[in-house]
Amino acid sequence: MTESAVTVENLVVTVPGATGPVRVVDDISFEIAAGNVLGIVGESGSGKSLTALSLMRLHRSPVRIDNGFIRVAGTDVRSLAERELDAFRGNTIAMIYQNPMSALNPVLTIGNQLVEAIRIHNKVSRRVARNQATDMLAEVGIDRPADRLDSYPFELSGGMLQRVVIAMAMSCNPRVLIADEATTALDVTTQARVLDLLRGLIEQHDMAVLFITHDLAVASEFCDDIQVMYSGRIVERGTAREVFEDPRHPYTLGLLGSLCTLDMELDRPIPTMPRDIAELSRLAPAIDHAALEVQELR
Amino acid sequence: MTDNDGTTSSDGTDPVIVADDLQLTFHHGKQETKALDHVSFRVERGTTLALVGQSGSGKSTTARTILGIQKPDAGRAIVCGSDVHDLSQRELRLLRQKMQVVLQDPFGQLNRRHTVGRIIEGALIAFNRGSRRERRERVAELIRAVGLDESYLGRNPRELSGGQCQRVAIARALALQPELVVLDEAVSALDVSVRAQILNMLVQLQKDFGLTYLFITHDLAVARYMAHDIAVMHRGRIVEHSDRDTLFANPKDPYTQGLIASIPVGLPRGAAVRAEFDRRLELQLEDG
Ligand SMILES: Nc1ncnc2c1ncn2[C@@H]1O[C@H](COP(=O)(O)OP(=O)(O)OP(=O)(O)O)[C@@H](O)[C@H]1O
Ligand SMILES: Nc1ncnc2c1ncn2[C@@H]1O[C@H](COP(=O)(O)OP(=O)(O)O)[C@@H](O)[C@H]1O
Ligand SMILES: [Mg+2]
Ligand SMILES: [Mg+2]
Repeated sequence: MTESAVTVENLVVTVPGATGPVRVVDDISFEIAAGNVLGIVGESGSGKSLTALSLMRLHRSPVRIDNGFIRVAGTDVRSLAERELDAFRGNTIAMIYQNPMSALNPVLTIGNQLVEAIRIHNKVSRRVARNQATDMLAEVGIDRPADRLDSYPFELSGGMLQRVVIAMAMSCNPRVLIADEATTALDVTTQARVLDLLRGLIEQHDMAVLFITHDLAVASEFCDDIQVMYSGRIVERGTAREVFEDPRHPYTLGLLGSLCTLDMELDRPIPTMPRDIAELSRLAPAIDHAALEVQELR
Repeated sequence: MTDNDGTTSSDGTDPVIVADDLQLTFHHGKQETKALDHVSFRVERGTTLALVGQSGSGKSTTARTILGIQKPDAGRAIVCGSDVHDLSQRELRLLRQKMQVVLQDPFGQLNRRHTVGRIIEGALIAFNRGSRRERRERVAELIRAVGLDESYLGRNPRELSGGQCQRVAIARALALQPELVVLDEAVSALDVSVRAQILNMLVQLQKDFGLTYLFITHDLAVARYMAHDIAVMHRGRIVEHSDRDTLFANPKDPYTQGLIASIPVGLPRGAAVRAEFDRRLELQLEDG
């Protein structure tokens, strides 16, 4: 067996609370193999983004990693010195944020930012980098890419910005890509194109991907494995098929049950989580479909 | 400050929004983007118009024009009887009490120097609503309504997840009991269960207080659930505008047909999962 591109063991992330540290990520472990997409779905505020930030050591005080082992593409992330972090983030792992504006400089044109990003990793002339930037924009589905290079971020719609950010993240050829609600703002057709593009890049570069989304349809189509987070913990894990076709944990069931579908009844409230979901989840053990199979075989 | 043209209710209607032939072209160097190409629609009081369409089709630009943030090249945007681009700053500020907005970007729309409590209370203070105690009570009520609790009031937006920020923005928008709320992809950053809770709340508010919504989303199932009417935008134009049943049963425009056809399938149907949920829940409750 080859080593996983991402290994996380017993990760605990805390923030200070009134009565001592609060474990916002509470002892979670997972792996992602190169070329695979692991989806994280789940409760808003359950620790998905903080888990993702842990892989890059991007937390800002007072949020801190309290415990756990993190290895990304062979690097023990927690043992990296501060001065090694920039190179690690630039060359090994990239992240597409929930908010595209946070990754872009509002006063520089898209072209300038892409050219800079390309030239950090490849020693090419500005002219060559500019041509590459044009190709990258075309690749992520932006119309008239050559003209768009001269646009400022505020001139683009939310969906276009997301695509620019994806192009920037790919410019360093990362081994591991984190996408935190990267396609949330895209309509279904644009989203499908962006996901196809990402799929191609993943295969071509054998990247491991951590894919956070609230869109269960996208998760089911795009991810190889899915884990469901609730209240800082992973409550259910399996292949996308297992988790969505045979959900076992009460939280997962409640989540799938609250989904808006085209055949749902109108003029009555959309079902939501049962009120006692916290209690139900405490009673139900975390469910790992791989382990279930082993049990069932016995 | 009223401009009653186009909003007279002689025909018995009471439109909260009248978009009248809005036109807007952006220039990028030599290139032009027609962001609004003769956009016209009305939204009657107490109803929801969903605006759907591909990213870049002009949905947010339409919203910004209605809100008075973006001036059109031509055409008028009339909200609650006033032409928003024909008002003084003071008049626009007064209109803003009646017209609130929740934007797509969960992080960017909240002032990071304020606490969550202050953010929600801000509008109430600005317009002198209620005593200090009444305001605090209202803020507590609002934060609970969006599925958070009072412990969040002392926090800074930086200390919140994306979905929590989004909910604070929704609470803030509802604080002044507006007549119109423009929601631009306001629920896409929420997990589907919290989203369901907020959508239910918006529908209930509409029933109770006759709120009007301009609801921008790329999720057609959500549009269908929320809206009375749906307008489909494509390259700055409204290519189809009808009531929701007609739109889904009989989409006329090829672009709309394509949009409906591209809805991903393959997820378990909501209803089937819900039945299963009830069954398992019973089992679990029996077990202890
Ligand atoms: N800087 C911070 N200080 C204190 N608490 C924080 C901070 N950042 C996040 N949190 C808290 O940690 C928890 C997990 O946050 P996280 O951003 O990981 O949620 P998430 O699962 O990504 O949610 P969403 O789906 O809403 O984006 C939340 O309850 C949040 O309020
Ligand atoms: N301030 C602006 N300056 C220049 N172009 C803009 C500006 N705002 C939007 N646009 C352009 O107008 C079009 C519509 O954008 P937008 O309304 O944000 O789309 P949507 O919300 O439907 O995704 C896009 O082509 C976008 O690039
Ligand atoms: Mg998040
Ligand atoms: Mg938009």
